[in-house]
Amino acid sequence: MWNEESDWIGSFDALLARLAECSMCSRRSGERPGAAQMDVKILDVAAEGGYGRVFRCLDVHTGALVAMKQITMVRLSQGIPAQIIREVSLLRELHHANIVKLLRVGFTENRYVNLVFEHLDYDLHQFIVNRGYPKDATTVKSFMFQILSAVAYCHSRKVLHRDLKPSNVLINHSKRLIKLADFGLAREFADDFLYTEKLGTSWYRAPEILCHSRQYSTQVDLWSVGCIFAEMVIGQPLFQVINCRDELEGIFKLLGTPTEETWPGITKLMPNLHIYCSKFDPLGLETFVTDLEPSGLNLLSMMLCLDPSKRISAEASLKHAYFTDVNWI
Amino acid sequence: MASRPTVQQQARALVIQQSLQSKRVSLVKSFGAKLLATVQAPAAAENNMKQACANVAGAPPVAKGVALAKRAVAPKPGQKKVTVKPKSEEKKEKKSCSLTSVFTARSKPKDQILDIDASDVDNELAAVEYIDDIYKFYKLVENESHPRDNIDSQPEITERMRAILVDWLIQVQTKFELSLETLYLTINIVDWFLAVKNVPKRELQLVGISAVQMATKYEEIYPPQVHNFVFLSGRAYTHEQILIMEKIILAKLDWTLTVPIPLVFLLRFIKASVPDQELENMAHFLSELGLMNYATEMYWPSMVAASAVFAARCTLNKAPLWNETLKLQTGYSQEQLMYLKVVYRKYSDPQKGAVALLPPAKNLLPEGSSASQ
Repeated sequence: MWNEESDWIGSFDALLARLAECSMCSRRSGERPGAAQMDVKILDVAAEGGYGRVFRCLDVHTGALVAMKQITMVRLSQGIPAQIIREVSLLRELHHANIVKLLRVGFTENRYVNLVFEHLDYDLHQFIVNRGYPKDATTVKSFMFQILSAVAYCHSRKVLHRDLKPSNVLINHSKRLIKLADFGLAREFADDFLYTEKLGTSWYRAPEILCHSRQYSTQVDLWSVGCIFAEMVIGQPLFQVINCRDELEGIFKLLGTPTEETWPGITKLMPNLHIYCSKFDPLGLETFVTDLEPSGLNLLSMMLCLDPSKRISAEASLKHAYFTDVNWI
Repeated sequence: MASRPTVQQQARALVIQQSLQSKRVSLVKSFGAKLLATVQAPAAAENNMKQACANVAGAPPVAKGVALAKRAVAPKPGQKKVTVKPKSEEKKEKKSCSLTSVFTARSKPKDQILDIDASDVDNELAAVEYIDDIYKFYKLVENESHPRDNIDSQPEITERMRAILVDWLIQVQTKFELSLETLYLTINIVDWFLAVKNVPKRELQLVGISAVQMATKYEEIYPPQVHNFVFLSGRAYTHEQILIMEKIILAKLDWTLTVPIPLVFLLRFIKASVPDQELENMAHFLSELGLMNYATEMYWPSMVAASAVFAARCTLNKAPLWNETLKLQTGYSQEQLMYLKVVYRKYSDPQKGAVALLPPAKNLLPEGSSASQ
C-alpha cells in the first residue's frame, strides 16, 4: 500500500525525480488539445495585424456570420501568451450588450490560438475614415453613450480595458449598435497594484501613462474615450492634429503644461518636466473641437482632464447633461 | 425596431407611477404614523427630559451619534483616518421604521457604521465609485466560483497531499516574490481542476506548476519563464509537459480565471476592520492557513475571509469582536461566524487536552526570532 508519510513529507523534488513520464501529458494520452475543430468555414481575411489575422467565417451549425481571430503564438516556448489568457478569461465573464461576444476558443497546429467572435460590420476607425465620420450629432451622442455604458460596466466588474481606440470599437450597421472589442491588454485592477506602462496606442494613451506612472486606474480608459469622442467630431485623432514632437507635448500644448497646483504629484511623477518641455499656455479644446454643443464640450473637457483624480468617471459621464436627450437609433 | 424611450419619457413614466403609488400608500401611512406616534411619545418625552438635565448641568446638547463619531475619527498611530456615519444616514431610502425598531431604539444607542471609503474619495486608484457594484457582483457570483468535493472524487489524491502541494506553492510564491493574488488564484485553479479531472498522485505537482504558471500570466507584469518551473520541479517534468498541462487545465476550466478569490473579500474586510499592522498580518496568516485546509472548501470565499478577520480579532482580543460595519461589509453576523468559537471551546475542554489554549510553536520559527515577530 502507498505510504503517505514516506512519499509526501519529503520535498516534491525527491518524490517526483523517479517519474519517467507523465501519463496525462504523454503523446499517447487521448486528451491532447491539438487541432481543435472551430466549427467554422473560412470565407475571407477581414483584417491583418501584428497579432495575426481576422477571418470572416460561417458558423457550420447556425450558418451565422462569425469572426475568427487567429493569434500566432510568437514565443512558443512560453506557452499561451498572457494577453490571450487575460482576454479570453475576462470576456468569459463580461456579458453586456455593448461588449463583443466570445463564442469559442481553440488551438490549431500548436501555433495558433483561435478566438471565434460574433461578427460586426466594421470598426469605428473605418466608419470615421470611409464614411466621412459621423457628422450628425445624434449618432455621435448615441455612440458615445454606448461606449461609456460598456466602459462603466467593465469598471463595475473591476476590469480596465487599457487599449480603447476607434479600431477596437466595432459597429453593427443596421442596428447602429456599438461593441467594445480587443481585451488583449485588459486586466483586473486593485488600488495597490503596479501595472506596466508600456501599453495602449499612443494617441489615446493617458498622460499619467505617458509620464511612466505604473499606478493608475479606471481614469486611463476615460482619457481614451475622450480622445475617441473628439475624433468622432473632428474626423481625425485629436493629438495628431496638433503639431508636436510627441504625444505628451501635444497634450500639454492643448491643455497647458501641468503644475503642482493643476496636477498634484506631477513633479514627483515627472521631476524633469521643466527640462522636457517649455511651459505652454492651454490652447483650449474649443480651438480644435469646433462642431460640438456646449454640454458636449464640457463633458469632453472633463474626460480630457490632466489630473486623473479630477477626471470624470464613466458612471458619472452617463449622467452628464450631454446625454439628457440621447436617443437609441 | 422600436426605439428605446428617451430619458425624459422614462422620467415622466416614473413620476406618474410614483404619484399613483403615493395615493395608494397614503391611507396606510397615516394609520402607521398614528401608531408610531403613540409608541414613540413616551420615549420622546424621556429623551427630552434627559436632554434638559444635560443642558442644566452646563453641557451643550450633543447627539450621541456625533459624540461617538468624533471619538472614532481620531486616528491611532499608523491607522487610516475613517469617518463615521450613523446607520440612519447610511440608508436614507429606508424611511419607514417598524415597531420592533422603535422598541429596540429605547433600549440601546444607535449602531455606528463606518464609511470605510471616506478616506479614499480623492484617491483615484481606489475606484470608490464602483466599489459597491464590484463587491455586490463578487457576492453574486462567488457561489459558482469556488469548487467543492474535489478531493472526494479523486481516487489517488488525499487531503494531506493537497495540503503539502499548497504548502509548496506558498514557498514558490515567496521565492519568486509573486503577489498574493497569484497565490490564491493558483490554488483556486488547482482545486477547480481536481474537481473536474482525476489526477494521478505523481502528477499533482505538475498540475500545481502549470496552475502557478497560468496565474502568474494572469496577475503578474513579468511572469517567471517556463524553465524556472522546470527547475523548480527538480526536472521531474519537461518543458513540454508543463505547456501541455497548461492547455489541458485551460480547456477543462473553460478559460475561467476571472473569479472572486477569498483574497478580494479579505482585503475589503480587513479595511472594514480598521486594522493595525498586527491585525492585518494575523488575518492574512489565518486566511493562508485556511488555504491549506481542505475543509474550508465547503465555505464561500467571502465567509472564509470574514472568518479569518473574525478569528484574527478574537486572537488579538479586539473589542468588539464584531461590529455593524463588519456585518454590513461582510454580510455575516457574529452568530454566523460562531462555528469558529464552537471549535475553539471544544478544544479548550480539558477532556480534549485543552490544546486550543496552548501557546504557538516557537520552535518552528527561525533561529533568533521571537513569536512576536
